[in-house]
Amino acid sequence: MVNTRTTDYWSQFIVDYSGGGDFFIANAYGKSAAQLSYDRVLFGSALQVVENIKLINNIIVVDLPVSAFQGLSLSPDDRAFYQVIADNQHLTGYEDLSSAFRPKKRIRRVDGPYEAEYFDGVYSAEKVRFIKLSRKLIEGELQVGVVVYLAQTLQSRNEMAHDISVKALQLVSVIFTIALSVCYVFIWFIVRPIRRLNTVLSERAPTDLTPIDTDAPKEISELLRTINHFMMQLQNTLDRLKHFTSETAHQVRTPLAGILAQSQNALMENDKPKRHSQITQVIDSCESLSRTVDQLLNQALLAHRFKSKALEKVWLGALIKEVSRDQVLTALQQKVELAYIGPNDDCQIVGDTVALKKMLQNIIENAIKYSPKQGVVEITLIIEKNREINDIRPRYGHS
Amino acid sequence: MRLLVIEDDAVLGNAICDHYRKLGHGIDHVVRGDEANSILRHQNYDLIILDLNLPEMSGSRILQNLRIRKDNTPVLILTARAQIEDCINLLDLGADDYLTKPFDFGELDARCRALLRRYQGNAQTALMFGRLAIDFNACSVSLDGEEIQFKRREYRLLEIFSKHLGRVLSKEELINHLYGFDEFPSENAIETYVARVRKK
Repeated sequence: MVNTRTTDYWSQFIVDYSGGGDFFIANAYGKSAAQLSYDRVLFGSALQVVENIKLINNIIVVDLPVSAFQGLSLSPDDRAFYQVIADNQHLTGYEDLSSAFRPKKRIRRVDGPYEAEYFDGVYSAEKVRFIKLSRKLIEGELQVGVVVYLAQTLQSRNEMAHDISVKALQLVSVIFTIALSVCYVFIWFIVRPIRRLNTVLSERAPTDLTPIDTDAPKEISELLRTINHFMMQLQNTLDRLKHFTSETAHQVRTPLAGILAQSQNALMENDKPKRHSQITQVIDSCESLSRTVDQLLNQALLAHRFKSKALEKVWLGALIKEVSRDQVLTALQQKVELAYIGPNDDCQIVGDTVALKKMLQNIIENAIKYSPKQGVVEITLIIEKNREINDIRPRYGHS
Repeated sequence: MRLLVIEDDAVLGNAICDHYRKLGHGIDHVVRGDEANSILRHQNYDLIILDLNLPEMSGSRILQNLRIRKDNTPVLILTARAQIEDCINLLDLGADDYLTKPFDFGELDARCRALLRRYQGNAQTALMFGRLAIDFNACSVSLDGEEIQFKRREYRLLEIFSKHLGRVLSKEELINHLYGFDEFPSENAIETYVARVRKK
């Protein structure tokens, strides 16, 4: 079934892509968490170095405590490098460290009176994390700018990032699996009544349009109501069609039977006046049948036009006058007078000219047909606010 | 035979009446359903030819009323619908047969004859009384194998007698079986016909 396949495809899509997404997010999270904690340690060490540079009697004294590198020694496999520069003069540490400090994208963090810059670089053929911390030493009128560079290799940092990622991923996977299972169970519960409905519908005879009577949960009952309503409308349409067909059969077959029977009679009749009357009846019947067939064809034409034609603006008054003029002769032949009694002002409506013409023609024809001889059929257009009424009244009696 | 035609189409109704009158049957033509219903309460017929779409009262309703009154007069329905289920409905309502419009008089005659035979408890198409033989299909009478010429009314009279064997029929009964409401026969006319039939 197409639907099931689509659902499968979507669930596969969700599992695949959300799985990939999870991995990506967990990785980024682990990396940033490790970065943050190791940067803290790096900053602490650099701070201790910078705090222990002093200006005593205009001489810069650098007294690096062991504790300054204790934090860094927490990662046993990593190496650390440092350099202290005062007024662009190398003081102590690795002399070429500052030249490796070429930040492409630097991150500045201001912490108290210190401004720290971090960046990922390469030193002695290894990837390292740099920190640059500056400070101004002031004694009397003497000002010395001191800069401390500190770099650490990334092994522990990467290990921690990996560790955090894996743990986060494990957690996410567990939650994801649980959520997915819950979703599946829910979907199964929701789809179950639809499947039942499907079975009921597929087991039905094609002519059975009675309402479906199956207990459905609230979510499906709306759908069920719509299906039942639709089937009821279909049944009504079929009933109308059936009625129309049988009515048409009656209208066509009865005069046809009359024509056949009376012509058979005429064929056998020796009495001339009697035969004449029978043949006249046959002709009358033919004419009446021809009118009926015309009307049925018109009806079919209208039904077709209603479905296929776009509507246009039509002057209703002018159209009524035109149709009335066409019918005058037919009316006179039946000794009925046709009168259009105004008004002269016209109104425009949106409709299909041919369809409207046929309908007006039908109304007027019927009015003529059922009027007594010497009668008058009056045609009026009454224009009311927002609606137009075409009033056709046969006026009985003599004109 | 006395027939009632209930048909709202004037041409078809007239055609059927013309046809059966010519064959020597007594026939009445009614257009409206309610009228037919009230006539059937008072008058017995040998056969009813019934249309379904009628003004004032539908043909199926007339048929229902007829059967409720335990009237078993054979009814032949003229219908425009030829679907099997419609026909089943009609037969279930109590119709004896149906004919789909348009139809041929030959078929209508044959079906009417068959209905009449069955109704009168005689499914045979010919009868023999000693030397006299009647062929109902060909409407011919022969004595000792020699055909006798009968006028139509005379033949119908003989037909009525043959269908009521072993019974004495009054003139009134004979008139009822032979003539429609539009005809005004005198009892003398019946006597003349009976005398002619006897002579032959």
